Amino acid sequence: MAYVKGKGTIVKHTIASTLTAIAQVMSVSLSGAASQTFDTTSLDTGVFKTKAETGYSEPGTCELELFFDPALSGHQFITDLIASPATNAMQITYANSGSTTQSFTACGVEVGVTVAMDDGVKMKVTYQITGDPGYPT
Amino acid sequence: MIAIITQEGLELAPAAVLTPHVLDNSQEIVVTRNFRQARIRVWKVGGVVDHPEAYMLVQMGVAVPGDEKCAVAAGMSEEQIAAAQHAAERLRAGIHPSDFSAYDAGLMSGYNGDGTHKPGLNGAKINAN
Repeated sequence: MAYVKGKGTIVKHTIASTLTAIAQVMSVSLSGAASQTFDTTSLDTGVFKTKAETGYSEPGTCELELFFDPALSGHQFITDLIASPATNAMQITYANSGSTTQSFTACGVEVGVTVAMDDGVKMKVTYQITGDPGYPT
Repeated sequence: MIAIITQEGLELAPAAVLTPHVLDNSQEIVVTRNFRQARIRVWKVGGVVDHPEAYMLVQMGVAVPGDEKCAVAAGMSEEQIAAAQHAAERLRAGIHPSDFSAYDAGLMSGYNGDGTHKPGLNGAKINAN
């Protein structure tokens, strides 16, 4: 058991068939992965509603917040995915001693840029994950 | 378009097509991943990447141009390429911006699992934070 620090975590995306690190990432948020269920409640069910697994799982999304450098090719590669949609193999390496790595494929990206008077220019990137979200096992 | 890999341990994407050319220019290595030994395929330093996006590897500081087409597409001076490569090494080590000066001074080379600094080339070891 260990408390793993966020500092030192590396996020990579694929450029020219090569996993390359994304610069200036401030935070990584993986969310929405869930095994799906359906309601099996019927008129003869007791008080509590019942559920069953559908056998499918939602892979969720990966959200990055980064200091956006519009001249940096690694950041331009992300925004290029808007004009030229493509799946992209990604990898997160956590900063623990075992180099725990989570690999997944992103399919679809949403970006938003924020320019504020009292802050650096920031970008929020949301990748839709397709297939296995790659949580370490 | 051709770029020459300069960064050690640059991993090929899982879906990379392993043509004879790619196999010649890459190698399998054993790394610790998820606390287990794992085999991954990485580009050899000096490996030749022939890809329409190869110039982006130059811009990201992990390769140098291998032909005129790549050099033109990357559009960088030698100084800019050197600066990009330094930044890429720092990024690969996961260095936080607040530690850039310590990394650049050789005081640290990365982080241990508990967040403390791994000693840099000059052997100094300082605590994180």
